[in-house]
Amino acid sequence: MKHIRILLLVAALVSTATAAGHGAPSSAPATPQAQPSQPLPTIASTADREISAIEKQIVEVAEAMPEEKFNFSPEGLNIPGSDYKGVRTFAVQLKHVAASNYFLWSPLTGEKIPENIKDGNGPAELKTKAEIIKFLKDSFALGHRAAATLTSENILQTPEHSKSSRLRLATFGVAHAYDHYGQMVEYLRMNGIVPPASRAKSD
Amino acid sequence: MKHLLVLTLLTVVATSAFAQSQSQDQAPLPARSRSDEMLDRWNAIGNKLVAMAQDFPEDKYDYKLQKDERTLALNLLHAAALDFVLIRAVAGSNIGPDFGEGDNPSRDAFKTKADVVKFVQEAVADGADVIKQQGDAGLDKTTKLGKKLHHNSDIWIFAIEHSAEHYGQLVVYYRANNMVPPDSRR
Repeated sequence: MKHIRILLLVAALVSTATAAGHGAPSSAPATPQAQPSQPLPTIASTADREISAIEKQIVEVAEAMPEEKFNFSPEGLNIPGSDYKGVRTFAVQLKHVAASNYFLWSPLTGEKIPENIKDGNGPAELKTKAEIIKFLKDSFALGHRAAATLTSENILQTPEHSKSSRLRLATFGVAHAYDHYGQMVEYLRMNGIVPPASRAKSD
Repeated sequence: MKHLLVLTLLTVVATSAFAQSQSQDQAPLPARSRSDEMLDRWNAIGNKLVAMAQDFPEDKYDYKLQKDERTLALNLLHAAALDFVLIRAVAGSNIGPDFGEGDNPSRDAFKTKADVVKFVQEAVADGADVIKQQGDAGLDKTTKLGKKLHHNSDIWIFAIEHSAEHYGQLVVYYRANNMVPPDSRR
């Protein structure tokens, strides 16, 4: 996993070589690499990039797991000395990330949470790999719409139906997804599958 | 982790009733600064890693689930070391202990549980200090990493996300050792 850092630095910290953005002037010196033809990064574009980075990682992990393993839980391995009783299956991990995305990001857009999301584990009726990945992708599509609403003026404001700032809702969703991404990476390895982000690497 | 939803719903997606009663009965809360928000998030994930370092018995520090991955101790050292790499870049000074090149310190330099706990604690505390000292203005400054400049806010967010990923991996290590991870025992 040591190369994930490089991957993420490229994906998540890409090209903020311009001095403006984030709604406030930067005190850093103007950079010689700045390219006038590139749009300046904004709060919205930065949040969108973060969402894209974790979306790519999680969708790749989902696609890497064979459908017949979607109901895998470490509980079934009966590892001596372990206690995985009741932990989420791989499928429910994915649905939990997606459902949480809806709970966290809907307040930013004002969109109604889909009625089939009753709790944090997502719709029970979604069972196939294709259905679950679609649900996941749809939740990240909401994330992109949510990111687009962010401005330097509103990020510290609290949207309706929430007591957290827009900034926190936007960024917590990404960090929460990384937490579960880390768990799903372990689920893959428990099934002898090298996580996509670690493939073709020296480790 | 099954209680994380409840936690999330309670702490993040609050009911409108609270907001409404607050708006009727109290003056609006003052807007918190972006650096306050960043500091909260930095401390939240950092303190969870500290808790993990403290929780695990020393004789399990070299535990790993699969052969091709980091041990518990090396996960924690890596997360903290990357924090230090980024903190140093943002602060422009060589904060923290010497742990060699890169972001994968050897156990040779951190032999005991106490060494690892101290290293993780220092990373969290030192990062928090820099965020506080630099404030919102610091978030808007840029820092060169490699050949590119990055907004400091992006660098802090990256560090938080990176720690969250390793926290998630270690959650699975916890359960493998019949232990309950920090987020699930509140």
